[in-house]
Amino acid sequence: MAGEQLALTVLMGVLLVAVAGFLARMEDWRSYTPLGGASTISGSGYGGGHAEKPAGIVRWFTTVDHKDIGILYGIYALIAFFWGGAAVLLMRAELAAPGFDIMQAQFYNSLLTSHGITMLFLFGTPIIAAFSNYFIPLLIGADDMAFPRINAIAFWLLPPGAILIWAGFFTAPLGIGIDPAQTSWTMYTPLSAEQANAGVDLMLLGLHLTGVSATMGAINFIATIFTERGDDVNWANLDIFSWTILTQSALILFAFPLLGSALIMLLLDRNFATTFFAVEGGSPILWQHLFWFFGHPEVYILVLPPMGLVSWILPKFSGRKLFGFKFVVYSTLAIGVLSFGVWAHHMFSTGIDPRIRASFMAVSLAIAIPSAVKTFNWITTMWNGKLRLTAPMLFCIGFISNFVIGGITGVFLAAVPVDLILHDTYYVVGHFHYVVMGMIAFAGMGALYYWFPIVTGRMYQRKLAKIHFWLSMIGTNITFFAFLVLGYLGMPRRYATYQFDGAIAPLAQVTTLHQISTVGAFLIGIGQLVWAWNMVQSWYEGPEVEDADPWNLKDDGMFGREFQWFEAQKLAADGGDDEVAADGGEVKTDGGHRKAVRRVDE
Amino acid sequence: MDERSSQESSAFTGTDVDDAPEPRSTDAPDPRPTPDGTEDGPTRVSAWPLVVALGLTVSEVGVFMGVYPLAVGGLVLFVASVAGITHEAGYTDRPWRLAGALGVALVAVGVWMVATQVPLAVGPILTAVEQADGIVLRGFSVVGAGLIATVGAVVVSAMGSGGGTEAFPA
Ligand code: HEM
Ligand SMILES: [Cu+2]
Repeated sequence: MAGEQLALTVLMGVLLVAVAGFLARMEDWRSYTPLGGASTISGSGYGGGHAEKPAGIVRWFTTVDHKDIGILYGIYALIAFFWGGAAVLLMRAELAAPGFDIMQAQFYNSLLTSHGITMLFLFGTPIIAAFSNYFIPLLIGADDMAFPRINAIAFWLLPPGAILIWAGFFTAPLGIGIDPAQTSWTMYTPLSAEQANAGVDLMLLGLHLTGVSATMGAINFIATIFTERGDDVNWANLDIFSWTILTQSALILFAFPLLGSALIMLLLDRNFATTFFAVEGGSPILWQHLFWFFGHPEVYILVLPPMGLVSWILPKFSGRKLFGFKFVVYSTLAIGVLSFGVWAHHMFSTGIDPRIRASFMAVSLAIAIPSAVKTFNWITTMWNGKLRLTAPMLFCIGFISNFVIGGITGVFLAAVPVDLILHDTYYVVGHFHYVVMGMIAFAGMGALYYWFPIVTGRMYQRKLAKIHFWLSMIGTNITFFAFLVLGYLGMPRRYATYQFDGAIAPLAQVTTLHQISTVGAFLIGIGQLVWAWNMVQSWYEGPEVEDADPWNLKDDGMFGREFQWFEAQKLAADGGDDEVAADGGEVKTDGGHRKAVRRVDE
Repeated sequence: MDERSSQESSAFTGTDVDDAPEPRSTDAPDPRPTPDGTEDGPTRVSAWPLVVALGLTVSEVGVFMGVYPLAVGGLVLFVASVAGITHEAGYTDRPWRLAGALGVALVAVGVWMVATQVPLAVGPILTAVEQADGIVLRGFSVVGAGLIATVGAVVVSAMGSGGGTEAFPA
């Protein structure tokens, strides 16, 4: 023990010295950062602010500018998306045939756990934060977030959180007995309490940190939207995306602290012999209640802002205002409230009192109403509109189409008798993937394309973007529709292999469906590679956007505040110095040598 | 370009940093108080957030997993960075005082952790240390971190010029 501790102390010493050195360097750039006087700072915002930022990598480690932090969130989320995607492609390969044996079942379980947690907490929540950090202040006419430094802290908690969550994958090859967790993202007790593996503790601690991060961010958004709105922005004309972020933040505020507490109880059970979730203590079912009281709101935390993004972007390419704006806002609030009243629909088969079960079924079915309001409003917005099928618009339409399937399969699952049959089959997995992949990821992609010109000052390659869309759309529907059918055939979820008694289901068909869905998953994967290439290539080499209205929104009176801001930036740059840094960091000269885009019309 | 955007464009001219009106408050260019409520206003850079996050992470892992060097180092780092960031944001003019107070709070928490396990007397504590009881040792690491933070804060403040507003010396 002594030797180990000594080594660790040395390690820590190195760490602290590094930090001290880092902070000492801070003094250098401090001298040219106008920390001192109020007068110099008022201009350090959007216009000429870049001149005051430290150069290179130091800028990214020290920024508290909401736009930079938005970019950091985005990059972080996309790294996580690729990690989670790689994990699932391995899993799909393993499932391509029943006897296929490219990995141990334990490793499959680790990948499954990592995939679920990564996608939900390290991709889903952060990709939304990327958009909200960058654009909410622009949309509401604020200078920055209410607490810019807390904003930065919230972001910086995420990378260590991810390292802890993934820790087992890095330490397993070292042979020190810390393996990746195999608890699945729901961490159901008693399994999660009894698995003796320090990797599980590290994962729980990492999750705890990401929860702290989300809560800090939520408080910041609530404060920002309440107190930092421009003078001409009131509750009646607050944009729809800000409304969904406000609702999401409220849900986070109530849900995440609960997850944090439950995680601590689980950690105490694991390490300090408490019995919160032990059979002879609080009971394993207590975990499920606490977890889903957080977990169901979490799915709306993840899906409401994408709904807001679609409600914001879809009208732009329909040439019409969002139909029934007020009702879209009301439905958002209604979903937010109802989402806390349905958690036990995840536990219909745990033997809870049938009367309680029936009331949870009623509330769950009720959520379909505000959801349908949104769907009909989107469709009505497009009805007779002047549709322009740009990449962002395609992703919005794909989103709605996927929501119809994802939502209706959810209504079926909310019905107790149906759930009792389909529970824990691939039907459930298919249902929620229509939502998480078909909606959250789709809206995220649509928004990435829509705002790409603002963030980078350049335009992406439109043809590649469409290839990306169609590969994703077709891939998603192949993969997850096959899941739904597999569910009907009785394929249970969370298994590394399958083998059916012919009396239960025909193995040949199950195998075929698995193969179809594996092919679909690889189609999605190829689509994302196309997208990654497009983003990186266009960021560096795409044609510069000359007109602040690349989407031609002025014609329809749909020129939103964020693009007005962009226009003002560009005008300032044209009238002022010869340099503008419209993107995340590069300072490039104006009047580009490359072919510039004025409008994008399709 | 219409009236409004030309007005905006002047607000965005990056060159006149000294008295540009608030960016993007298109209709009412009168300056609003800055978000922090301090006269410093939103600065666009700070080294502390990263350190706060690091301190919190290292201390959480250190205390929970019972890795004492990490627990002590992480907590000290956390206390120092919280004091630093609070000071930088203008909420306190003397970072060392907050650092010292947080240190004292840690000592109290650590003592409480020990007290839940053994009677607070020399004999039982020594036995507990010898038996390497997990919680007692964790309590000690928290006490240790608190002591380091408190002593460090006192020493640093004594070394400072007493002006009070200089940056927190890391
Ligand atoms: C290429 C796209 C994707 C494919 C092919 C895919 C496939 C899968 C598969 C095969 C499983 C395992 C099912 C089981 O054994 O129970 C799974 C689980 C899961 N996936 Fe995905 N997925 C994709 C994208 C996503 C996204 C974007 C999210 C969230 C934003 C997500 C969230 C989850 C969750 C939460 C689980 C459950 C994990 C658990 O039960 O512990 N997936 N996925
Ligand atoms: Cu639910």
